[in-house]
Amino acid sequence: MWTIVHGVTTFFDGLIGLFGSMNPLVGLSVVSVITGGIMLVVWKFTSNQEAIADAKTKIGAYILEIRLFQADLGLQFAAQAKAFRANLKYMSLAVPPMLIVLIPVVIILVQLDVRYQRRPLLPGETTLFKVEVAEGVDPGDVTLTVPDGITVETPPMRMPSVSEVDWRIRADREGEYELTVAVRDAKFTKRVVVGNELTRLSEARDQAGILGVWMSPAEAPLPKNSPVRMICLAYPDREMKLFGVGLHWLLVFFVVSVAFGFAIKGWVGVEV
Amino acid sequence: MEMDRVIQGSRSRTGFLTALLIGVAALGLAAGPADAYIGPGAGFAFLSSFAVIFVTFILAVFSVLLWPIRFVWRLIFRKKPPKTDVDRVIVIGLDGLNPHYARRYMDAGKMPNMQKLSEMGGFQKLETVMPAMSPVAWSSFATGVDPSRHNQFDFLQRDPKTYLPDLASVRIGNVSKVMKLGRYRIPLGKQAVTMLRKSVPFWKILGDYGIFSHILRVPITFPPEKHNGLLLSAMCVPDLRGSQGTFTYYTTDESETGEATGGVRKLVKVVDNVVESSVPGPDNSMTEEQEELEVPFKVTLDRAAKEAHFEFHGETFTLKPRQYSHWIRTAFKPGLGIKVWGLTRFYIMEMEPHFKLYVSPVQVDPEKPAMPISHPGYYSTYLAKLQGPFATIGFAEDTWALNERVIDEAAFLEQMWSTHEEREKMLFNSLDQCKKGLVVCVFDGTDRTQHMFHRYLLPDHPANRGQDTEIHKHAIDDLYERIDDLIGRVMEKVLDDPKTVLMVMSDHGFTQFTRGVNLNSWLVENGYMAMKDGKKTCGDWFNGVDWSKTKAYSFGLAGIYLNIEGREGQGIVKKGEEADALRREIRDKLKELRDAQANGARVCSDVFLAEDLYKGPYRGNAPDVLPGFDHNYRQSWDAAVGKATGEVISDNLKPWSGDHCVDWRLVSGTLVSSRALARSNPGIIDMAASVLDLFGVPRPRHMIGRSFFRPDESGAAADDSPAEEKVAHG
Repeated sequence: MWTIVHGVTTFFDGLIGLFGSMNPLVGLSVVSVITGGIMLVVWKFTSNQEAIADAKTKIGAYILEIRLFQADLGLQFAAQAKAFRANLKYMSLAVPPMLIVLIPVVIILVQLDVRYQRRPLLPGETTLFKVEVAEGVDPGDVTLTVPDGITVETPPMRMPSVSEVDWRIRADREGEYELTVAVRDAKFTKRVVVGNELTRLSEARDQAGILGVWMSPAEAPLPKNSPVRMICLAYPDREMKLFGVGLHWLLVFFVVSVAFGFAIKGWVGVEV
Repeated sequence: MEMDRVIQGSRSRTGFLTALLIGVAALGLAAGPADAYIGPGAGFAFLSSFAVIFVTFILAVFSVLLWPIRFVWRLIFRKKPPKTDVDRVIVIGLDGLNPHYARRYMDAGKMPNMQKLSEMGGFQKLETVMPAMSPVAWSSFATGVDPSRHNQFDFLQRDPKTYLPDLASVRIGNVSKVMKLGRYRIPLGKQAVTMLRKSVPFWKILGDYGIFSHILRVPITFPPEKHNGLLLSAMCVPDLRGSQGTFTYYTTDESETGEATGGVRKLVKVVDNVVESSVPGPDNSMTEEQEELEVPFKVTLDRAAKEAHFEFHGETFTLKPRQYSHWIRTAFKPGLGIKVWGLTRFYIMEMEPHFKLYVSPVQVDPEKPAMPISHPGYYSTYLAKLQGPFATIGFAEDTWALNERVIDEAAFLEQMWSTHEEREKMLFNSLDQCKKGLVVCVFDGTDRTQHMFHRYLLPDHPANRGQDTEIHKHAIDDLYERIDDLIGRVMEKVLDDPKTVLMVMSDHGFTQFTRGVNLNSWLVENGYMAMKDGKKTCGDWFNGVDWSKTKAYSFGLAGIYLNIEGREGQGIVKKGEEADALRREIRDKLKELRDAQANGARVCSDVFLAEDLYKGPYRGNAPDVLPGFDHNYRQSWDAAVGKATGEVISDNLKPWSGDHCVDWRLVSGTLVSSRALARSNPGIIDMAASVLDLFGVPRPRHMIGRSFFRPDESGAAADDSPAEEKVAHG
């Protein structure tokens, strides 16, 4: 499963990498546009287009009916009830295609999330590095080795009651590093990125299952039944701004893909 | 804390899918737009749904908040009629329903519902007006006044300066100011569409008393006038070309090309089983060239499957021969991103040996009307959204296409019933919505069918020569029976309410039209009209007439106009004594006109002078002499377009074989009411006063008609007009 996930991740690395040197909004917008277009086409062929058009038309009619009978409260309320009923019908018609496009959209959202939600550490910034060990493993057996460019600032704080060991680390130089966690003879690595580039980031490496690897595609999962349950590293939130206004990446994705879909829906001939 | 977030985030990732699935199920109930977003389709769906909920909620709040204000406003400013026992009046107008036929079918048990209704209140002939034509009669219906007060005497009126015709009921003007931008002329204002029918429709008077009206397809309601209620215009709403209905006929048969009245014939070629052509639309008023706009189409013939595949305006559909398409929406593009929306239907008459295709007149799309066809303007949009697209043109049933034989009787009937069904949906929707107030709905199919199928009732009708006389010989029987079924359904729906009054009525009756009278030829023969070349014939619209020697002329269906000095552009007859004498002379001679080919039968049962019929302020617009044709006779097709053929009386060979443009006393309409009729001689001019009376609304001073629900003429009347004015409607 990881091979497939990795293939998908590599594809997104390539696609978004094309815009790596630009403002992150550019790559995000391109992906949003492509997603908008593809999902619109998928919607066209997976939904009952005729019924959707009919439901929308009826909603329009009942809203006009409310306006037509402004002086008659009874007719107005009846029209409102009809509009609500037609609206429910419309929403129910949206569910089947929504379920179908759900899986690819979730995959895309996760791929975007690992790139746009967080940014790498900057030189000089510190963060917590945490290892959670499996039950029965003594946190005292856990050691951390860091490469040149990363400094461990504090001695390990071991908490046997919750099977955890924490360190504070500092990023010294830009680069991509692998920190090694050793538990007795077993060794596990965790990728740490320092710099300003747009890249996928994994905050947590754990023993993910089939679904979990799709949700954490930035780094391979830890082997099952290994003595380390999870290795975590907190990255700061990425700030994206347009004309000085901070934007959440999900909002950009939502607006751009919907706007693009709206712009081409007539051309594609889709009722949404 | 930050690390806790990371750990929590990681653990919850695996549950992300599950959460999203639940989120989808809960869509619209709790999730915000971003949370519910699953691609743009779902995004739209969610946003739209949210918008609907929001808009309806806001409207509901406003309605509730504004209701007391509206109530107080009505209490203070609206006139209050006295209480009556009537809450609702429903008028079903059946254009041209012949009382003689109706009576016969009722007696034969073929119209049981009409019979039942007549037993409730009464069945009477409903006297029509002179000229006995729909635009004239329905105008009297709406206003309660005679033609000289509502200014409608015919479908057409002439421009006396040029002798050219214009629509009598509406003037569609140009935009007064335009801005030039390259080849474009950008209109800086609205096109002026002016109603030429005068006086006040009774639903406007009802509105002043707070009574809400649904007025559906009553003729001569274009452009729509404001009132307290809803209105969908009918006759004379034009098609997108601005005409009263221009069909297009595509044929590979060269013998079928040439001029067509009411349509355009186009010769096409089949190349590799493909026909390519275009549907003509309006002239482009946004360019200097005013070129005709068109939308191309392509037909691929599948001869093996006996069907044709159409590509038109981005839509694809398949038709078999003799099958109508549904309404196809199309847009003509005059430029600058503007679209003019229209509706049309396709019908393949024949695929082999020749390809013959009929395309209906391109109608104003009611959902996105290019011009106002309803009040309020969005009422037509509402109806189109509610029940789907529908015919909007004044003459929705394409009688010209059958008259020109580009479609046959079967195709015509199918089109007519399809239009009828659209109208029924509107009516029943209004009946559902109107618990108090007025509903008027006019059905035209009764008129059009009788025009086109009357020949089947008369075996030796000239129009039967070489034509089918069997297949559709029951078309009129079927028509009356189906109309009875409609009446039955309306009765069932509304007459359980004792405060509802139902009236079924028509504007005129019908008679045979076997012989056409060319009044222009008669005028030439009698020395009242002269041609420049000394011949006895002239072309359409008086082409070739020597006006300096012409004393009288005729066009349209109503009568003869004198060429009066100072009134007409090249008038030669002096006003006063000379004109009066000439009128009388023409009247007297016309009374004596006999049809030699019909054993010297009388052509006119009577002939009238405008001054004898009319007293109102617009009597000057009436024809000077109005022949009251006898049964079988009518103004000829050629004379109606201002042509003299040299032959005064000739056979009518057109499928349009029945008519009513005769002496009005011969073609009374029908009136059936659920409430007892108190008078024995009701007229269509009395309809307005009668409806007002039912609601207890006083009849205004200008109204001539009287309530036929009262034996005397007092009651609700506010004022009685001079008795001699009654002559105006006979």
